[in-house]
Amino acid sequence: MSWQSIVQSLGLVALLGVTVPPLGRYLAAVFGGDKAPGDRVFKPIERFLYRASGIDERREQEWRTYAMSLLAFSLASVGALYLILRIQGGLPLNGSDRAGMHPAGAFNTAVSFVTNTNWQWYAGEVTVSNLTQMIGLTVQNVVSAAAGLAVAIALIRGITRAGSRTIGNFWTDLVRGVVRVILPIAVIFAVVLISQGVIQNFSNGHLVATVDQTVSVKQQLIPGGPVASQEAVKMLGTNGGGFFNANSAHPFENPNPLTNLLQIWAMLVLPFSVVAAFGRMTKDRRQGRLLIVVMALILATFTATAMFAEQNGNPRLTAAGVDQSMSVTQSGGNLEGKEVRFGAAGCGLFAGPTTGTSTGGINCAHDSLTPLGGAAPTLQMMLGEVSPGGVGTGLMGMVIYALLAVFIAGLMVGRTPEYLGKKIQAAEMKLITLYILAMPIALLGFAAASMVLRSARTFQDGPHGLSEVLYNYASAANNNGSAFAGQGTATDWYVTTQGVAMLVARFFTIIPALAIAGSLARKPTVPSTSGTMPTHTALFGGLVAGVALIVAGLTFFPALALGPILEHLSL
Amino acid sequence: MGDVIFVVVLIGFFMLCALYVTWCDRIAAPDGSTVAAVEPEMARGESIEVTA
Repeated sequence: MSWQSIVQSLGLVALLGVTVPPLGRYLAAVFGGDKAPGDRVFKPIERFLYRASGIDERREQEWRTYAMSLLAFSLASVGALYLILRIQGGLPLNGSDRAGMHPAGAFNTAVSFVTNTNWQWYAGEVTVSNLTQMIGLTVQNVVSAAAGLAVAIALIRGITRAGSRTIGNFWTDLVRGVVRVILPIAVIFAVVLISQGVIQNFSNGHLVATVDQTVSVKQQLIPGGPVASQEAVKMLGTNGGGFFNANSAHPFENPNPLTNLLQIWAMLVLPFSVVAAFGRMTKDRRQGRLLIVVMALILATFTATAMFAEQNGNPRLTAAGVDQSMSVTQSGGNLEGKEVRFGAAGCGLFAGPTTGTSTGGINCAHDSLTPLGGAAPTLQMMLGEVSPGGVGTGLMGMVIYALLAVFIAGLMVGRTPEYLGKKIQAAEMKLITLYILAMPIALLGFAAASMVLRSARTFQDGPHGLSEVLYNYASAANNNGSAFAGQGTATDWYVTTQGVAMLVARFFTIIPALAIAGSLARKPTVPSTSGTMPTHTALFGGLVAGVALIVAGLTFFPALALGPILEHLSL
Repeated sequence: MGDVIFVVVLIGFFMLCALYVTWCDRIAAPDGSTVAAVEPEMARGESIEVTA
């Protein structure tokens, strides 16, 4: 690996090390304390919003009401975005005459952005108007992340409260997440991106003459638009939907190595900070630190695998006489589908965090990754997006694995399962089972159907075809949004089934998680005894990571063996 | 026609989610009756230790 890749990796760790602790402290104050920094600025805005929308900020909700509020908000959001996408042709700020999306496309896109997936079956610069980008997609980038954050906060309250029927108020959590967390950081980040060359305008594009006038294409449209504002929250909110089809490989979205590094940081900072806030809110920071370490180790393992696999190159190309070595004229490695400004290892460094979080933005073509380099992000998504996962939803997934680990450890050593003073009993285990089953059913069910349906055969022949289908449904069923885009997925089958997979992945996991929060909040907190297994130790961390890997391994190994593993062995 | 189909799918899905909430709430029943039949100590929130 090049020294530049190592410097970028170390720089990323340093940036996260400096920013995650204070942001975690801030989140804990915003959602758990009576006073928080910025009250003087944010409280009046919040009060105005509460008054305008009839929210009583002091009224708390039981978990059912909390969940129903989230569902109502999501349904209204999907409906509004669907309408905007359908009628954008008649709306203002549409200088390039974008037509309304067809119903299946609008369904997929609306669901995609509301579920924080941001899967894009279309090319943004030629399909979506500037107004749709701003009032449709960017708005959902902000509120879908805040909704995920709210769920995590509700889960933390469920763990920390005792004898309580309520877990907070969804509307106030949503407003606080938007007003105090996502929006302010996104505005600052957008300004930083603009300073580095990310565009922010209302231009419909400039038609310019191409450099080489001897070829048939003599003119090219250089697109414009409000890119920086979307780009900032695209990464911070672990959304991932690019303004341009090339996503973060496009120079107007990601102009230089500094913005590349900052974008990777932006994907990771909030998911890790929520876990840091978890430690503070549970009054045991060791618990948060342990989960951060587990998440970081999983992330580092898969990211390093992708970086090494891509930098080592493709043996088939070497056999064909292609020079893939690093030199002063090239960064080397498997350069197929790579943005040469970032190189092969730089692609791996982006691919790890974008699939470890639920972001899904890309700075290279994932379908061009080597089999091993592609298997790493695929498996990372199949873990359920917990390394460190989406904003809020990552913590939710990791706490579910921790509860499962506590239960399994309890069975092994003959102790009553407890986590942070709460007994883990039959009700929680049933809900955890429902949570864990939702994603594989959506992923493997639709992937299997796609493999056997003749009309769904838009993938390549051989094991790579299965890798494409697996990756794309893993992406949809984990609310990631990145793609093995060599497979054409703009068909009615894929657009519709992936939309359904995204809905299942989002809501059939959040609902049992909130139910667990409600169940735990009602229980008393029991003091730890000699019979209590400590959940802040390295041993428990290893157990949590092991549980996550074993659950994913048992569920997906047969499919992975026939896809990326077979492809790797056949190289 | 396409609009009607997808609007029905969306509303249907969210109605299913509402039913799922009700089902999960039944599972997360506060009385702990399911557990009480098996482990009365656990239902009372007490720690139990199983020895070989």
